Amino acid sequence: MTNLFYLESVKIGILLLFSIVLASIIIFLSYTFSTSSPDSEKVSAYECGFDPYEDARNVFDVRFYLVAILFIIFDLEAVFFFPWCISLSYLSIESLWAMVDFVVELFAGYIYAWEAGALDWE
Amino acid sequence: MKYLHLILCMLMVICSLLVVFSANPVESVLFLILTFFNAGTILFFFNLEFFGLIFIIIYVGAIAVLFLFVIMMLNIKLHSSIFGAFTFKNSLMYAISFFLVYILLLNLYLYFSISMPTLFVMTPTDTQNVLLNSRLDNLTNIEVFGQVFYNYYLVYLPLAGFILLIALVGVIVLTLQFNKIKKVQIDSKQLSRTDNFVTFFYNKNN
Repeated sequence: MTNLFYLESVKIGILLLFSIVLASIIIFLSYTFSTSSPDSEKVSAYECGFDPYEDARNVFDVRFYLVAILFIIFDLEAVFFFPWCISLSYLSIESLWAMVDFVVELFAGYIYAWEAGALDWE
Repeated sequence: MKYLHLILCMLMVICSLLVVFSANPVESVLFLILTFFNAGTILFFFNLEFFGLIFIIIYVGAIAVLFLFVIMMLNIKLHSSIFGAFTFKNSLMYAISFFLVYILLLNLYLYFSISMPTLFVMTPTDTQNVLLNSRLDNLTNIEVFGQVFYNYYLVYLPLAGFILLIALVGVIVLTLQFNKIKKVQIDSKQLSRTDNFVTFFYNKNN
């Protein structure tokens, strides 16, 4: 890597190294200098002394998954936007219309998601 | 500094092995996230900083989140280990399998160290020689990628848009319940409400 790029990324590398070392020191110190007497009763569920009636976890709602997939789709649209915005002055006119085409496709998908009720929570 | 690249590659191999061999499914996903972070960091060393960051944004921020949601959906409670018990009968099998994996990795290393020697040790002079021989400009990765992709490979952009559109429509069709009764407000009725209704009783009593 050339010297200028190396200088810029070494600063971030020092930050990363310092945070890893500090976190490791804290975890290591608390691991060595603490008393631990593990017991299976300590990690079992507590329901006022009775045995647990049923499972403590709810059924996982699939709407969380829908929200995550909607996020990744529009995040990918943003990823396609970044290099285009930076290099726009070097590009031809066809790149503008291809990007408009891309945006229109995803805009149609966005309107469909809105009207179908995917963006409501209920 | 010379061996940082090799350390990251070895760390990536170890993390990806731990994805398979860890006890918990959640632990597996955490090691997968660590693998993606390592991949993004390795890309930084090849002057591909845009792709490294995009790896971290997309792979860790979106795809690993999807993996995590799948594990939350499956609700696996047992901690299992793939090795089982280390008995005397099993030890010969484990020894042979580790020896075979070692031979395989040794052959791979031998092949790549002869054909692509700069993969293992990246000194600054190596990369400077590579740059001088290929006569690249002083551009960052984003600018280069933008100038190539949006000029010569322009046909793939609307195709990618179609793939994303299909994913969007598909996930809505698969997960949404369409015949639900929703309580909504009717905006036009709310806005067309006048003050006659509110002040009717007030004026009558005064």
